[in-house]
Amino acid sequence: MNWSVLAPLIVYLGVMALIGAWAYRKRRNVAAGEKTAEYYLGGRSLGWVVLVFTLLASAASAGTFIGGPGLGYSGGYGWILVSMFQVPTAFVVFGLLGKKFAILSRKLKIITVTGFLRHRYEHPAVSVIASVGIVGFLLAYMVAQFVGGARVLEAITGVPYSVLIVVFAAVVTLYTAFGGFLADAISDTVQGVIMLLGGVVLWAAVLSVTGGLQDVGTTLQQDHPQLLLLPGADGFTAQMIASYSAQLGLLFCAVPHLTVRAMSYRDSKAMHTAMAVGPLLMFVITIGFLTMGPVARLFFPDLAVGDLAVPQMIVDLLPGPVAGTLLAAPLAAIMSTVDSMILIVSSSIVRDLYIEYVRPQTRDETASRAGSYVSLVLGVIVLLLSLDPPAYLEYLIIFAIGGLEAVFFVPLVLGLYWRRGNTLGAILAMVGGMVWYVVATQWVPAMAFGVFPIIPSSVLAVLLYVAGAYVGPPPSRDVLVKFWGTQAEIERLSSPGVGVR
Amino acid sequence: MSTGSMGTRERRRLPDDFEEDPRYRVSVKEAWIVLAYWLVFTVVVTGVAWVLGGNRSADEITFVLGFPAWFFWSGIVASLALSVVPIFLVRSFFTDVDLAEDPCPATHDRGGAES
Repeated sequence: MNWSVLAPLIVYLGVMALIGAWAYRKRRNVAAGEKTAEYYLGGRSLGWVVLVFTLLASAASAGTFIGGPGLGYSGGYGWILVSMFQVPTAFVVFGLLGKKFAILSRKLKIITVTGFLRHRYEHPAVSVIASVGIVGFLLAYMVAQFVGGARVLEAITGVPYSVLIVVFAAVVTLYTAFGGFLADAISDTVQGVIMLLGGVVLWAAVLSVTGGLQDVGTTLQQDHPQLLLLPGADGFTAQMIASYSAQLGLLFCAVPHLTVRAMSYRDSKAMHTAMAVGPLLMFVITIGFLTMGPVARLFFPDLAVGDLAVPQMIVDLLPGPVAGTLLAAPLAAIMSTVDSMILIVSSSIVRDLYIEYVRPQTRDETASRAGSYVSLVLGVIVLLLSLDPPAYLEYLIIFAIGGLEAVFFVPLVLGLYWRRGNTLGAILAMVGGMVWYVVATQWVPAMAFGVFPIIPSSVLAVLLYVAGAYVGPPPSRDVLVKFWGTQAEIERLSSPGVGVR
Repeated sequence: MSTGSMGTRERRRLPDDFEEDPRYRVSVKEAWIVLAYWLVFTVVVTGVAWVLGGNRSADEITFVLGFPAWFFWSGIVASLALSVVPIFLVRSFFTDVDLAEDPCPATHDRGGAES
């Protein structure tokens, strides 16, 4: 075991635990009635720094730090190009859902994506499809993140896989379960800064060792020419490249652990600044790590597993403690994604299923405490699944993200801006989008028409949504007032009880 | 289905007998700006990459600073240029609004809505 590499990682995990403890103390002092919103949304108090880093850190998963560079190593520059489409994430997520989403969530006291859909479409089928989609797809995604990260760290540090998984899961679960959204957001900020600096430091180190990248080009042209080509071995045709932009850019705003962040900011200034600087920060993070994939060919011409390229390079090029600090970046990416997902799944179970259908009169304080316990149990489930991971893990990730986008994007965005959107349309779009996506991904590739399956399934979802809107009954006056009217009009609907439906 | 007939349209008119929250109009305008930006980002980055690098053979590839030229101009230069654009978009077209349930009219800056 390499202790000089491990020491910074251990310090880093300790800091995460401290942040959790701090947020837990803060949460206990919150006024009654606001506790659940505090646990799941940090009391809608985020300023721009925490806001932008929590979004970027939640969006940039193991894919940016391990999987992406690995694909760049084995498949070439096409993979880096399509990863650049995550650069506008902050601008798209906050801007497309926009201030309307933030205002509505305050007016109707919505704290989950499913909650939004429940108010908008007023039908249990919509809530249940949404909750099941969240629980199923996100659990798969979390397991994939943990397993990918632990395998790489095992290879690099020599610490046994099972020990790593248990330690990861314990730290993430504890600070998320007890600290809630605030611990999640603050630790994301620390993690985001590590990722940002990591990208810059890694480049500086590589440049100082190689004295410039001219060699990379000539070496690749001689030994691995296929890495330089479009479409190249992995088939990046123009339409394929553009369809990655839909999946990683536009539709990303419908992935629930990112969507809720559009409810969490304090004011429109925080939102504006996060939107303005977000793309630039994401550019540095993405380019910094992903371009290292092909560069690693200079040092290790023939690794069997591309995923190990960048971590191996970090350990070989840099002195132990610096390497350890940089390795914290992929670890941070994984933890910051998983922590936000645990919260989403937890809120989905507590808020959208338990309180809604089992025990509506649950007190706020009880709900907030139940949130902690459910998060704890989820951490244990993810841990158990990760100890004996299912096969075909990488597919699970793409599958999970695409599946979430197929289910949520259309009912969420069209429901937000198009009055005529109704329950029938929402149900058709969610079911149709998901079924088409699953079938095209798993069994009938022809249904993808040469692009990502998410594209045809989203188009289908839009068509079904519009068709449903004209065939089925229009939304009730109550829904229209709640989603388009002023607060005074909403209060006029029925004196008590708005937002408690 | 004759969605265009007057009768259908008449029957399906949505109720509008309530006061609308004026802040949502701001939001709709901004959402269109975001959509347009995303479209430009996609088209420019994909277009530059494909025009410079699509269907070339390996010995036709030229390099800039060690990167294939097509990637340098699309993935790095175009992406970087476009990731600065939101700073100007936000400054020029985005309006500060009070996000509270019921904004106090005195503090709510309506004058800037069309600037």
